[in-house]
Amino acid sequence: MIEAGPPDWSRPRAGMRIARDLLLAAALFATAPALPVRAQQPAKRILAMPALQWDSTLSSFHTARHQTIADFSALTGGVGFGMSPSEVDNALADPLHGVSWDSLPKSADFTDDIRSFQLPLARAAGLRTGIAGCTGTDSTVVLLFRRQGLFRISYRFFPDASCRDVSGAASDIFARFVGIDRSVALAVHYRTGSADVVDVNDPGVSYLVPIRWHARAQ
Amino acid sequence: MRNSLHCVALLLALGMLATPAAHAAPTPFDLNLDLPPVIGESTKPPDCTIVYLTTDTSTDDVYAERMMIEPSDNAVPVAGRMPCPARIPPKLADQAMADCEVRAADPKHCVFADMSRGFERERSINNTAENTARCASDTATDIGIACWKSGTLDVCNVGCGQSVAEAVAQARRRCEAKHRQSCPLTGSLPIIAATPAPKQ
Repeated sequence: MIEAGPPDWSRPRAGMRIARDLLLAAALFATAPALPVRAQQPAKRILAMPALQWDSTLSSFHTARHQTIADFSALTGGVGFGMSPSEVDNALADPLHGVSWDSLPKSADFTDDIRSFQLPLARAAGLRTGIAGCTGTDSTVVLLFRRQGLFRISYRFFPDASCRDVSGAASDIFARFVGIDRSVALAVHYRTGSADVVDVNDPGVSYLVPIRWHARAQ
Repeated sequence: MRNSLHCVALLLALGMLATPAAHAAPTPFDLNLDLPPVIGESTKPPDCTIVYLTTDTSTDDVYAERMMIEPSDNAVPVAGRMPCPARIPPKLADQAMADCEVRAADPKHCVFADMSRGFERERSINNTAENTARCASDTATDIGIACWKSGTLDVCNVGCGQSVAEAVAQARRRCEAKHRQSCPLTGSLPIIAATPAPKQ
């Protein structure tokens, strides 16, 4: 029977054995994944609208910072309202080519002659900047035109097995456009079916703004 | 004996490396120590700013709208802050609400972000309060929100504070007292925008 006695520190081999064991323990500790200090609190996003400047009598206001179409174009990679289908296509990082008013199908969602084309969100490099949340593979950007030009950029996020909640991605893109003065671009966010939709509208065509896309129309 | 001492020394060094400090992120080197501090216009504090929080209950989007108020000619800063009007007319709240409604699928889904008990059962603007859904820059620096989830709906309350932590804590206390629920979903925003907007 071998009795375990206290280590004999005067003997180099015993010290080495202890050192080896402690070294192993230290190495295991050092490579173990770090535990979070405390659980992360869920964050509630607050979307900041453009600030308003009121006069001292609180009788009138204006937008505190003057914004122009350039502020809007900076968020879309150069795509702007009023552009023709081919101009929009040419402004895309990955153009479809051959897009023209005459080649586009009429949209069934409007009584007016509205035409559109769409591209997968994954292909819309300049238009999808700022999206950090996951997007379903079928998510698209639809560009809607009157004869006078582009009047709406419609982001349609569809959940799938790879991304069961697209609301974060929709919120990412909505947050970018909410900060734009509504006289320059008016973004609206709504849900239809399982889809999250962010429509960015030309406020100059206000009568078309309330006309929403419905999932059943797809 | 000498070898053992070497081992102990090595162990001590490894032990120090294996402390939790080794798990921390590297210290940021870009501390902007070479940059002078930004000095604001010390004689003129920013205008009184009132922030309203509104929410679209169909999407749970929360909007903040800052209302900057030009000071009257005889307004004097107090503790480096411009005073805000003692009485805020409802037209400011109406404007904040209008700016929510224009972005919502249904204007009726827009409410103030400070909600009464039972809001989840009756989602009406009448079950929210505009005067507690806002914070003013003369009494606070941050606005906070705290919510609990009732199904997919975020039921929230608002707090004001002299720091992010204080604003969020106040919102949380209010939410938990009012709804008797844990309100772990929180957020905050500075009342005065980080970059002052230039005057037109």
